[in-house]
Amino acid sequence: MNRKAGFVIAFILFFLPPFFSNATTYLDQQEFMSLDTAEKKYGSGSFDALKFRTAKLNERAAMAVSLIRSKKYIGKLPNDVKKDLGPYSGYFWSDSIPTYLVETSTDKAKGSWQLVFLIDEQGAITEVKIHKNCCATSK
Amino acid sequence: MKPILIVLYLLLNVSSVADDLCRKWFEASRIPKGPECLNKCAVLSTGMGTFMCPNLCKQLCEDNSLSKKLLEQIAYYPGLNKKERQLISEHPKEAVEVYNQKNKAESESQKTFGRDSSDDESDAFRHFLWAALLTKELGANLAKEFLDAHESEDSSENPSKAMDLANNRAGILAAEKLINSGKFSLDAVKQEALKGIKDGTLIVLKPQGAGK
Repeated sequence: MNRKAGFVIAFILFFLPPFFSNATTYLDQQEFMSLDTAEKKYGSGSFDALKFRTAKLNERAAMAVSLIRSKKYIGKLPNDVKKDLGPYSGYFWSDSIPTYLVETSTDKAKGSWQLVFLIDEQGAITEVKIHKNCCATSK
Repeated sequence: MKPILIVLYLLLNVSSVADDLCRKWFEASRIPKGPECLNKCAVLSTGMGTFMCPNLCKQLCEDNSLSKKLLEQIAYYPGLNKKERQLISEHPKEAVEVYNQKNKAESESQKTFGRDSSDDESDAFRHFLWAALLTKELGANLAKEFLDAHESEDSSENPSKAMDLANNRAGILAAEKLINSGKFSLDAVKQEALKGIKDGTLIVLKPQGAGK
């Protein structure tokens, strides 16, 4: 066996197992939409909390990208979000995590999507993402 | 080049190999987790491969089990409240089952309604199903403890909390009835949930439309 082949085999045997052994977390298994995709799909209308409260699904979707980019809710608590944006309309993990549906569909390929306000262990919001509410394919 | 690779490999692997060895060493001792664990672990006899394990006793006594690793994969940790975390530490094995059944209930709710939402039929269906499946796996008492813990952070005046608790209760009762009559199955529970939504025995605050 030449040195190059030996090196390749050694690389595979030694380096790949640690990467495969890293278990994924619950969040890693969820499906999220990138901001670029969201912008192409929903547009990027400016976010207005008052309008958001009473907006229809497609109007909420249009505000999603600028809401996320504004980082307005980072560090705040779920109750602050509820006061600003109204009752939650989606669902992620438990009823106490803020979620707002932005697209619903019974077509599994399209799926239903929601804004989800992820929290840290103290309950403060760390990130806002667009999550596939329904029929996410497991990765 | 070769020495660099060896050093990199060692950095990546040695700590996890040591952790695995020490976990096996600790599990073989059968020391129960609790206040005496740390003292008992610290004086356990060691061998050539486990001489460094007493340094990990604090971590091993807290919880280093396979169940915990599994739980991290199926639970959204920041989303767990204080009571849930306490219950998980008391019943780690059962906790894995709790969150497996939760995932099953969410997935069935999505299949039936095309969404997982709040305060609507999918919410009622999800809670009923989770409670029933948990009752089958853990018995009514422990199932209720986990289900109540999940709702423990919400204010008691919150109508959504009242809806969830009522639908959980209905799920537990339905499961007990089906188990006692020998007719428990996922399909039977789903049928009971849909019937409850249709005839109004399950609470739905914001009706959006029935499922399949």
